[in-house]
Amino acid sequence: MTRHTKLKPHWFHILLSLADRDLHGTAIMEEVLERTESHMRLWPGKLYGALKELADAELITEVDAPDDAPTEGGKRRFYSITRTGRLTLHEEVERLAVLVRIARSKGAGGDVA
Amino acid sequence: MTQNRRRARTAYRFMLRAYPEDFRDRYGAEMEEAFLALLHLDESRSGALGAARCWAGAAADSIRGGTAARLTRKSEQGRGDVMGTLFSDINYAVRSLVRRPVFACTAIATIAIGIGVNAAVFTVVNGFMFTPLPYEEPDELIAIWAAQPSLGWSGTDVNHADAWDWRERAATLDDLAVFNNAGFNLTGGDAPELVSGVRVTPNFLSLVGRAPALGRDFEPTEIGPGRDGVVILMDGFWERRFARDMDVLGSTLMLDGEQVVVVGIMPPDFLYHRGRPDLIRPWHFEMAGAPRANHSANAIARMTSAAGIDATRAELLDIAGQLANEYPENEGWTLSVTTLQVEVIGEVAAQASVVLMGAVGFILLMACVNVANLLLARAGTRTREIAVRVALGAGRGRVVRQLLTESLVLAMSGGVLGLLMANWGYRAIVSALPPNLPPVFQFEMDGTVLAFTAAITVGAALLFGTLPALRASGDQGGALKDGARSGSSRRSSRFAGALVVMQTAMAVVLLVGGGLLMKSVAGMRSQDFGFEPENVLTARLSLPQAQYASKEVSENYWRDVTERIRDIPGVLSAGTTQSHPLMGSNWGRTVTIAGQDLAEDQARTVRLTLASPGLFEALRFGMVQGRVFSDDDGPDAPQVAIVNEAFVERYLGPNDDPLAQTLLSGEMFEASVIGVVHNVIERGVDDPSEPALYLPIAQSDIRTRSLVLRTAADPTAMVSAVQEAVWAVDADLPIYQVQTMRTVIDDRVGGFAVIGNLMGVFAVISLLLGAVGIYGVTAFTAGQRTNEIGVRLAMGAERADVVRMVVGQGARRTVLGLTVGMGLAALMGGAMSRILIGVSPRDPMTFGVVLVLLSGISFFGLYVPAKKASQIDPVRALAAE
Repeated sequence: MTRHTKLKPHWFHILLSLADRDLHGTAIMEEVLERTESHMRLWPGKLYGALKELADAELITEVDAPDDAPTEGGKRRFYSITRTGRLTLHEEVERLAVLVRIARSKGAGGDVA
Repeated sequence: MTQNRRRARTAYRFMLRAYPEDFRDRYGAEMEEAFLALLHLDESRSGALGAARCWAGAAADSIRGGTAARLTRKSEQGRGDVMGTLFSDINYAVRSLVRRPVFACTAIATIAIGIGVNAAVFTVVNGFMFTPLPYEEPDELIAIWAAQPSLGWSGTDVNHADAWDWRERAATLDDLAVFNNAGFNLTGGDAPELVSGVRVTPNFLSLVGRAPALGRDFEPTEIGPGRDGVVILMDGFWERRFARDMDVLGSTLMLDGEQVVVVGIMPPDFLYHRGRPDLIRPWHFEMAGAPRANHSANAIARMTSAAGIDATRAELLDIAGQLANEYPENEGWTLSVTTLQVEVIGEVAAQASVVLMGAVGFILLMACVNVANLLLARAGTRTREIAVRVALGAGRGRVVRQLLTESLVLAMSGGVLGLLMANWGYRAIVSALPPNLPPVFQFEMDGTVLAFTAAITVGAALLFGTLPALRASGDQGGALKDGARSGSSRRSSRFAGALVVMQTAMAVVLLVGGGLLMKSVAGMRSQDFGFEPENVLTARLSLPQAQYASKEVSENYWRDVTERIRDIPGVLSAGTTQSHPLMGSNWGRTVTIAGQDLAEDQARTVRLTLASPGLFEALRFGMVQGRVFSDDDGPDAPQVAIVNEAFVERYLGPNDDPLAQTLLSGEMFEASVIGVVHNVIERGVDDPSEPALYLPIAQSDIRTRSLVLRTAADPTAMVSAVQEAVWAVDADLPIYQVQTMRTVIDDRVGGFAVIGNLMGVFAVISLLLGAVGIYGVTAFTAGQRTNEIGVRLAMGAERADVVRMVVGQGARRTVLGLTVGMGLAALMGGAMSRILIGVSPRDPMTFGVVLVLLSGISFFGLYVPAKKASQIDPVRALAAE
């Protein structure tokens, strides 16, 4: 089934960052910044507020830092996406894909003449 | 860890206090790391401006995130209770304010003025300082200028060949483009039209990361003679001239008599950072072969994403050093690098922003002081009400919170009203800005402005509400006893007195600042320009290459037109030049003086102006010695030159006869000096005189010229006669930028005038707020001493003694305030030095006038309530006791 309500964009990007590996907060921020070519900037307050909310909603969970993780500036918390998180992300991707399909069928999004 | 990083961490840790403690304990350390990573990124990409933006963003994030975290926490802890108390506090505050409408309206109006001017000025400052440039990754873009440190020159146009060498050699640059604004005659349609364009190297658009919406960008080979016959149109021009006709793409336009093919049309949202051109064309010559002594182009570059501005600057300076060794013309020349953002904002706007924000900050402080005074006075009348609440079991914290909620309600009402005023105010400021501003600034009340206004509203509430609330809620011991005059009211008087001292000091600062700036603007308009600007008309004309191919044909044209204009009744004299004063031309040349050893004193660099016979007469340049150009100084006559006084002072010895000198510039000319002219202000109303060189325009081949004529009466009445004279020679030539010299000066002064007028308005507001404050405090303290005054009168004191006593006490505060204010104003003058032209930051006249004015206003503010206090009936005063 496809979701009809959209995920907050910064939640989506955080979940996407955690889709293939566990990361700490600053790494998530940097990855999102790079992936969106600086269009989405997760300021620290926004980032950690979202991480707390995502953890409360059980979409992500805190995990132990990998043994080889650098400990400069203190030990960092690492986050991992949960099964529910992965499902939510999957649903959001499907929702976006449907939107894109509809748009393309109406001729939008291709080359602009 | 560097010291800067440590400081940044400490400052950010302070911001984190916006978050609840448990959130801070859990995430604080990691948030610091995340912030430092962002700050490092922004700083390395765009220097101090990037860092400033990062701090502003982090501050907004802390306020937003902190509030959200606190609200979540409260709601988790028991939403009903907290929210219920809050609503009941607000409800009580509103009812208590409605009961005293005069107090509420006065306080709200005062805050609205304070917040309104802040929001309006911040909207404009925000538009200037924080609108990102409309180019891709604007933080990577830099502007490069030539500089001649030995002359104190910076921001000079670059040399094309030098710029191309920088591009070749600098590893820190992704790419570099050379461009210049240019005018073209468009013919072949309904009417000839002078269109404004930009000459660029073909990589310009790709460098700024934009591309035509229709058609294509220039090919790398489309530059130089015979290969520059292509043009890209701006969307606005396409609409205005061709009504968005798609067939224009691929068609041929006649520009300056040449056929050029339209290859592209830019999208509507493309903005150019140096003006509003109609079209873009490639340069008509190759960069590499351009003569090195000629400085007449702009350069823009994109840094590689890894390079910071410091590394780029260092490398470019190094390359400039290499070029100075390789080419004799480059001796003494170096360069300066700024981010494009800083370059577009400009030094004056940046400093004016600081000064204006400082001024409106002071106004807000003064407004807060007045409201604090009102609250203190009101606290006196509410002592019993508060004491009853305390007696009924309300803790002090609860009472303070209630009083602060009232302040917040006042502040927010004032904030909303202030925003409405600001919405009108910022439009008024923007409409007064000079019309020649780059179109890239966007002035609107966006989220940043609203966040700023919200922050200062809360700040103001805390500022004017906290101390009165603490005063009112403390020391309730004797309040319920009749007639008690507690220590708290004496402390309130002292506190109110201290506020008046502060307020007087701030009024001095604002009045001095406003006075200095207005004097500076008036001085700029009336300064000695080195020419007489009254009754002078200027206009621009451009000869197309195709019809005026030879130097002889074009010279005949200019002679013919000038003669016809001189024949118009009412025209006293007329001439032509490539650039009239204050037009903004940046032409420079390096010359040598025959017989002087160049190595002895390095390069002789001069501002170059080409002038025809009649120009010096039309502008009434003052000759110091020698003669002006005449018709005999034609194309084939011996080359001659005129220099200015700054040239003689700087480059010639005290015993050298200027008229015996010969000047050389590579193979370009060898000219005998025939005259010395007074210094003329060429570049800007705020720029000092520089060594200048004038050459006969007939000995050059310049096709775009200013026509300059002096008239016996109002020059604007001559415009149609001038047009007729021009069109009698060639009806196809458009005449453009027709302006009086006075208008040219007013346009140049425009930006400064806006700052001066704003500071004038702020000074008047500060005077009003100051007068109200002094009156209010005097009335308040005199009112508190009613029974003492009654006793004195009953004991036989004269009413005049009472007036003297009340005024005397207030006068001490005024004198202290004036003294502190004068000190602060003297410090502020230093910070304003860049925008003060021709006025000393410590101008005694301005300080004197402010002193007298404020003393007078203060005296009335003291005398009126003192007189009123002396009129009380001693029997009634004592009976009330």
